[in-house]
Amino acid sequence: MQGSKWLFRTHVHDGQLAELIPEYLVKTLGKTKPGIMAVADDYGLGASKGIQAALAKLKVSPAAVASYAPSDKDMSAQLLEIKDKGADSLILFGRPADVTLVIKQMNDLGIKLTTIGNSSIVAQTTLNNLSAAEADGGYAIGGMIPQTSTDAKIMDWSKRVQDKYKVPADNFTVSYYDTVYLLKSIIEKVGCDKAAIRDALAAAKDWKGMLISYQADGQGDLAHTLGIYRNKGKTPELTGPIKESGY
Amino acid sequence: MKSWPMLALSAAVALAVPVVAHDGYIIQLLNIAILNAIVVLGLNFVTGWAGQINFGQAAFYGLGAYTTAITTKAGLPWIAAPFLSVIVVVVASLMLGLPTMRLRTYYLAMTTIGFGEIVRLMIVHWEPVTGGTSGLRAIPGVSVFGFGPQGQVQHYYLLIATLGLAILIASRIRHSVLGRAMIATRNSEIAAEQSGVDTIRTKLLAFMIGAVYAGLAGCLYASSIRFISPDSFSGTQAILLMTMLIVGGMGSIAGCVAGAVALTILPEALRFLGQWYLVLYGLGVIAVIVMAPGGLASLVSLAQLRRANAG
Amino acid sequence: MGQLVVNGLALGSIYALVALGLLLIFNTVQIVNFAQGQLLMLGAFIGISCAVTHELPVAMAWAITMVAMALVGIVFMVLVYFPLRGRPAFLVILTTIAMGIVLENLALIVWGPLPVSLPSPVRGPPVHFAGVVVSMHQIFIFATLAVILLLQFFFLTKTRFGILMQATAQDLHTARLVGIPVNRTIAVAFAFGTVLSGIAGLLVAPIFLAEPTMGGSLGLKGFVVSVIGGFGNLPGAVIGGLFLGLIETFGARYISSNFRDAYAFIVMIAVLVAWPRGLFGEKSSEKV
Repeated sequence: MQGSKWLFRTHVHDGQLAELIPEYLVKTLGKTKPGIMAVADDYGLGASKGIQAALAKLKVSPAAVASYAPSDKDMSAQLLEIKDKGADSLILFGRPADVTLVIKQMNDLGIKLTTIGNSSIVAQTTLNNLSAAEADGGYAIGGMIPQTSTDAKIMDWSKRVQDKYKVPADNFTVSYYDTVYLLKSIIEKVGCDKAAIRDALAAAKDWKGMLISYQADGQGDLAHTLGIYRNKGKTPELTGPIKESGY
Repeated sequence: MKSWPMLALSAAVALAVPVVAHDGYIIQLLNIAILNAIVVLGLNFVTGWAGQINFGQAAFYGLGAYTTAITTKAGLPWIAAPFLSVIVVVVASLMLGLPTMRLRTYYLAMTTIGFGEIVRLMIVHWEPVTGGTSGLRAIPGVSVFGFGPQGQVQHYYLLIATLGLAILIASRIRHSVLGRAMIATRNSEIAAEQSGVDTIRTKLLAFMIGAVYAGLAGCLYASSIRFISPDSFSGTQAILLMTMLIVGGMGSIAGCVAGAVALTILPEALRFLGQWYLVLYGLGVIAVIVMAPGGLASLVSLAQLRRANAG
Repeated sequence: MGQLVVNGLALGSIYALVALGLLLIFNTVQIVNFAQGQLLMLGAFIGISCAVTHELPVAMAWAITMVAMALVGIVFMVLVYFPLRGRPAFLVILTTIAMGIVLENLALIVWGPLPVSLPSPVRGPPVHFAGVVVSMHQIFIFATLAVILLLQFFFLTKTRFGILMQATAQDLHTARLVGIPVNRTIAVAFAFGTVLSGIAGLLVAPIFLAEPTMGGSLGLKGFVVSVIGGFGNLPGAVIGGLFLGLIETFGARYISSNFRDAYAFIVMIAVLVAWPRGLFGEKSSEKV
């Protein structure tokens, strides 16, 4: 990954989101004039650029492209700009803390737009701070989160994470957990030799994690299944899995 | 007047440290402490001697570091970096100093905070040049005619030498006309003016010298740590520098060094405290201000006084 | 554009409240409390503890918070004012900054770093009016500011104790000499000033969410507003606050949202250069 054969990635990454979000928005939800709002750092701006490129490939051009500083609290200026330019939907890319504010302020301003973005829209931290009316209807594509699982073991694990660490389990928590167990199973098989571990990771195929299975590709990425979620009130529902093309 | 035995002892200890401590982590920590000490010495001119409150010192530190990083990464020979850093910070200090010369305490505090914030925002948002929030890495090291320090220990000696020079110059200034003018300005601007001191010029010079110290320290920071980011030069850092000055002893050269070393090492040594470290740090600063406003330096001279009286 | 005006004024009202709290304390004891923002944060979290964690009705949460903040103000006075009486202003500034650091990190330990929201005391759909949307909470903010200004004016100029407070603010030593219970007026100033910040916190949390580091930026804006209006000048602070709110909002929309926080400082420096005593002039002068 990134030119090194020693670097692997066990969580879905924004490059995948940058492709899949526009695809779902345009092809399935039928929106053609999205406004883009991203947090202004490497994470958000990188995603924003990728999303704009993917939209261009779908022959769609965004109504407006806006960003906000990570510590900003008032995004109404950007939201008004997006509304003024006639957007019919909003692609939102940020972290739970700021995404909460954007959604809240969108509601306060009476702006109604179909909203889709990264997992921050359905993260527990975000939903804890929104009312049912504010959260309802938002779409997210991202790493699978534990809250929508019906498996009793997963729900119990989720609860224990919350109790012990005072923060809700999210898609990253699942990914870290899976990564540790993946390494454990590899080390049990091949021992502690660095090169052997690396080779085993590169050969990983269909390793079943908590919510998805992992498979290494030529670039060292192991996660290729994402979930499409939609908020029903304050509860995210799994609309379905979405796989990167070719998987 | 410093005592020669104390001076020789401190120098010997400083030079001996890398021989005794083999842990690269400790040496690196001391390197950062030495750099902080140089910045605090600079702050001492402005705040300790000239009595001007200044929360912008971290911004000058950052300007020196970023100027060096950007120019050396762009391919200029290293020797140009210190000169360019000095030019940048002098210009910046004039931009801060000139409009604020007539401002009083609270306004000056606010303006210097504002200055620091504006510099930080510029660094964060001028991404193509400064790398934004991610900072700049792989900064070339010190290199004069192809020679440069390799490894932490050699950097340590380079920095100790620089600190020694900084202390020498500061001591010289302290006992010069300019130094006396600064102290007079701090004690009472109105009285100083009446005595013929050009307080405006004095304050400006103090600002500039302080900025130059910070700028050069920033240059060395970039060239020895080889990675910089806006976080190291934020408003929080500016406050930290100020507390180093207070805890060490405002106006005392030895105090500056002591305060910088203490408050650089303490957070690392007390890491096990987690979040509580900052709570205790805050309370500690308040305790020092209330009980020993002259900082560590005043405690030392108090002890010396007691010993002199007892004997 | 009207929307920007409404948003800007709402934001500015909060800045004005922070500045008012700051100036009440400053006018009485000549201390600029650099922890005023952290006090705002404390108010927000006390309110959240009541309304969210313990699920008390919002009105009761407000009442409890105001009482609690008054007590915090007195404690603050005991910890900061009395030990540092007579010390140079610079050391007092650093002490209040240190207090701010203590409060912020204690809050991180107790409440954690994640943002939490607080329900507004008023409910109801937003009001639509000439193409502009005004939320009920924004109306509540304006109303609260107006009520506080009226109460304050009334208290300071028409009640006996208020007049005593003004006397103390003008000249502490003489006030003591003529038998004014100076310690009591100082205590009331601290309590009142802290309560105002607490109210600002309760007003901010429903829109911007509360988290322990929220105080720093809001506190700074409060100081900037005080400087712009002219330090010590209460009406100046209110106008300065509203003015800053508008500038920030319009600047973010039409110039650049990235430099939002810088506008406050740029305006402040510009004002200081042109009017070294603030837009409306200071109250006090320097003793020789």
